[in-house]
Amino acid sequence: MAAAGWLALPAAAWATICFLLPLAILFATSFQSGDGAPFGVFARIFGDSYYRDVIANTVVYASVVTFACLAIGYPFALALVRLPGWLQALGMIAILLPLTASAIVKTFGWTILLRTTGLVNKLLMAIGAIDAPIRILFTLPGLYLGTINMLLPFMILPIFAVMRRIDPTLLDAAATLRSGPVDRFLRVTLPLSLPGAFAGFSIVFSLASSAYVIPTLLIGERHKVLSKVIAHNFLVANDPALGAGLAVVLLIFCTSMIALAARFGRARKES
Amino acid sequence: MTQATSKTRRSFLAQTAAGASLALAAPALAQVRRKELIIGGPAGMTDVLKEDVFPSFERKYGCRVLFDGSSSLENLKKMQAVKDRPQFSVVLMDDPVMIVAQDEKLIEKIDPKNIPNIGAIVQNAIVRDGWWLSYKWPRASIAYNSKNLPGGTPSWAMLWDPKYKGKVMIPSVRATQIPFILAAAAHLETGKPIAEAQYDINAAFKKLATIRSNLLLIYNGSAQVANLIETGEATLGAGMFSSYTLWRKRAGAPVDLGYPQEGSFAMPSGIAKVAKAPEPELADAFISETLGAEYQKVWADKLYDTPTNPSVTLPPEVAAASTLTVIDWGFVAQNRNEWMSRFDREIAI
Repeated sequence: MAAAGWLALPAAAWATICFLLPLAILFATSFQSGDGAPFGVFARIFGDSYYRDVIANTVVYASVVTFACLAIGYPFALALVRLPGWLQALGMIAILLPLTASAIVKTFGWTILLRTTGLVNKLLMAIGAIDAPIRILFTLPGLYLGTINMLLPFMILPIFAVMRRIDPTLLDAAATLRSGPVDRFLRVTLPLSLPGAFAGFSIVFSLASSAYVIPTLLIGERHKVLSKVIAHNFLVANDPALGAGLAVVLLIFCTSMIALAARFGRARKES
Repeated sequence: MTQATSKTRRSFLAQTAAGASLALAAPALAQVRRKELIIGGPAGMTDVLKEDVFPSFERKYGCRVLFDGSSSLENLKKMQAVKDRPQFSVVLMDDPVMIVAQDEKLIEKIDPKNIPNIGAIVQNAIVRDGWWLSYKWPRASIAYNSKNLPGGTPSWAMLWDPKYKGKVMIPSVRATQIPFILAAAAHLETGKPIAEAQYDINAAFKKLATIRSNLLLIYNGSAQVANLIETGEATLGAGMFSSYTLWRKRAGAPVDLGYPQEGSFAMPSGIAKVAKAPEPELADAFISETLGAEYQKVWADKLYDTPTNPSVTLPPEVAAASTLTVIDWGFVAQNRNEWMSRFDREIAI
């Protein structure tokens, strides 16, 4: 047992140096406000409507993206798990292949697709949704479209992984007990796949609320989210205390949402 | 076995000794090699410098020039990191960054005795009593799509014209170009000449707040602006530089830099000698050569920047420039933090 404990030492050292120590520095920096008050930075953040708006923007952005990914990703994963072998492999390639390209490259790709002469406008015109090209690039709908597309695999993959492990005989058993397809989904598939949905929710929510490259390239300065304001305070305004304070707010906000999702998941499992 | 080990040890010691003597002799060997001049400057100038400037300088002075191309701010950080043992001998940086370099004594005052060509440049290219020199003045104005706007940009007021709703780009408060749009906005709001209006920041913000409905993008990088204008996604890009815009025009892209009646801006490109510079004589020689007619013509012909040596014949794109206003970068440096806060709350929303 003791030997096994020693084996964990490198990993523990890594976690301490790379995660715990920077976190401690971050928290310490956030308490170093110029006016001497230990919570001075937080009073500044929550007392200023500009920072409150930035926090609200981040919450709305991350929430819309996460729920949209869930709404698209869950049925996608359900369909994927029921596809025959080669089609399922094809579906998996379609999800995994974009993950091999960097977020910067994909986001630049979206800046081309979203132009007035881009594919999105052409598709909308082809299906008769619009008569003339509309402006999507550097707008909120364009931001949401690009972000949802880029984060969707992180929702589909955990749901798919959990759904694959659901014993198909359970559905057969439910059918023999005269349970209809909707009933089977609601009473068997949905409850058993919820851990995957909660995992996907946590991952996508964390990625969306801390996204920096995607909102920077797809909408620019006119939509402020916490990640951009944090970077500005560290890199340009030279106000590390405020930057660290905002990072602590983002961290607490993300951790609370993930904890809430995990708690909800556990409650569902127990019930 | 022991003997073999001993032999190995002996040969190891002999090799080590040979290596050590080679290392001790290295400085002498280096002196035999050509002298090296390390220059820090803007990445965007790398090709022009390597093709049209460094080869002839190396031939003339029998040296080798190494160029570290990055942003002015990054080069400043490199200088701060090795302040006591500088790598660069010469730096080419924008004036706002030169001010910081001077304040931190990272550069040393130019000695006119060592710069024979200093007399060839105009007087106001000798900055802050000679701490650095402006070797060229890139022109900043409004870049536009020449296919959609064949008449060009006769006035800065076009940026506010509702005809261009969603087609206008302005620089971010974090971009170098921000003072240009602020000064133009203040001029339009107050009617004062641009050079005077640049200090009326309240008027600038008041006017700039009314541009919001026309904005496509608040930009940080010039490359993105040029691309959006060329593709027709945007029509007007405020504060763009001649060097970024006019080479694309010459390559056949539908983009041009306007000549608004109120005037354009000069963005002084500075050259300075680094404090405690290695190869100080070569550094002086390079600074002097950048002011001479040969390289001044390169700045005008290849980069479309206004030379500070008036003897150079200008290409038409450079010659057509109307009044060039020089921004008070000291004033910008003093106020930028306050502007950033205002801009984020009043404009970038």
